[in-house]
Amino acid sequence: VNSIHSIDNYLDTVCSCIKHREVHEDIKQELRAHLEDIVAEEISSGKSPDEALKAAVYSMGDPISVGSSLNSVHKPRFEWTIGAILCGFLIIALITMQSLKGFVLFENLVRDTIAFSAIGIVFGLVMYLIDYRKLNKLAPMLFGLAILALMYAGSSWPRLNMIAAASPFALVVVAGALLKRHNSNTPKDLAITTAIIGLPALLLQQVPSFTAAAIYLTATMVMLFSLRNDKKRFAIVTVTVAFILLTIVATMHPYAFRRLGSFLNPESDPFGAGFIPLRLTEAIQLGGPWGQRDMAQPGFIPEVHTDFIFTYLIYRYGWFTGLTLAVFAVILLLRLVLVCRSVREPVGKLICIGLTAIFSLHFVGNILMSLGKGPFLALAFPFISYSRLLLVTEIASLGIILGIYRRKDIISANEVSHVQEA
Amino acid sequence: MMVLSLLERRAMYGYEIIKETGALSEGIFQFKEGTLYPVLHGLEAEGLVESYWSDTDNTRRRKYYRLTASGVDHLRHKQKEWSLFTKAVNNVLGGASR
Repeated sequence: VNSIHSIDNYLDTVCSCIKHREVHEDIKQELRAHLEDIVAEEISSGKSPDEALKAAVYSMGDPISVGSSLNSVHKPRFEWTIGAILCGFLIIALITMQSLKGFVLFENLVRDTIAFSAIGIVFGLVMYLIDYRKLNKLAPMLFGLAILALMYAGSSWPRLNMIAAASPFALVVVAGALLKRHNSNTPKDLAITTAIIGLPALLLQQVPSFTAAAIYLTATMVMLFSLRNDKKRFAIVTVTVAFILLTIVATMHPYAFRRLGSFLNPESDPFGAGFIPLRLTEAIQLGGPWGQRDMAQPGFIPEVHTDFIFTYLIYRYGWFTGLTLAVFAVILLLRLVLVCRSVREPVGKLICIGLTAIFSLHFVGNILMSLGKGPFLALAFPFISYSRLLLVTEIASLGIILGIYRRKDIISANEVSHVQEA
Repeated sequence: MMVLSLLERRAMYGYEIIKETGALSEGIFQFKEGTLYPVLHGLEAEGLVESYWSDTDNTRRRKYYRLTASGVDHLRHKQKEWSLFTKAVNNVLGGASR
């Protein structure tokens, strides 16, 4: 304690014990205010600045013990369950792709899965380590770019389906920052909120990707709801968005409707809209509890390596395997919900909620569809369905969530002017 | 628990909490003031208090803490436990002195 010769020196010693650098500035400011308060008081009671400093440091206590107990409070958090389930899914994906060798031509499934898992993990790590709050400033620009890209995407990009499927993840992250920023009841903010929710949905429908539009719309509405706005605001936005939704539905091809509803009564049109639901049900019945390991000709399931991978897994390895996968998915979703609840910083919370909503829609929608029990949508089974861009996006999204969780106990001090409750 | 019940009355910053504790306990509770901050940050991580920066009082920017809704619940629970405990102790002491 004797070696402390200035406030800065004391604060540096405290912070040298705190591993997480992002909290240093905050803690220094807070402790500095405290030390300066004591010094000012001691000086006003007649002490010399030197004595006052000594008194302040003395009553504050040993900087190393203060620092190390702050360190244990501010340890970066890691959600091990989510990390472990991600690894599990990636391994299952690899085994699944290996088992499909020879059935899917034109794509090197195993090589791609390994390569794009690795790329995804790199991206995810970057997202995990970068402070997501940097996004706040960039959000309007990123949103503008995304809108331009989607407008341009209408006709000219190859592999459009893949980009459309991955875009809700990216859009929701940006929308999180924007929705928080424009969270008020002024006409301008109401209009902006509606645009943030409606515009990308409309553009995605133009791509055309009804599924991506619906997913983005649902996820952002969940985010808006979680902001606990007053009912009026929620009603205004809902009505506008519902209007947009009607426009989307009105522009849909009649056949798309029949396909969406085909799971309700597949027998009515067994060679048209009901064809795929009937094939899926048949494949699952053939699979039984333990699967058709010898008779591995899954040709009658369409898109076996992408959207219907879950049906394939049940067919090949039985519904016991399917059940296990579904349980993994449920555990992952529950952990994600817990993360959403534990994060208090509003932008991070919104992003987590939006991404969790997207993952939930994917898992639930894909499983129902794969069983022939849900609407026919372009929904992948996250991490397992073969799609290079989607795989990278999904891993990166988990990286963002884990990064927000990692900082949850650090970020909380809001910049609010003091409202005196008398 | 003491910190929570102080914050229930109004939002305070660290130095203020120390002063209040000293004044209310008539100098009986003396501790190294630095140890308050790990406690406050821990309570914040548990969601029992929340903090915000403010500089409206004077020139110095200070970090204020206030109780959250779950902080109030937690405090009520603790107060109930404490009154049960003190009652039991008093009963035993009263019984012994008889």
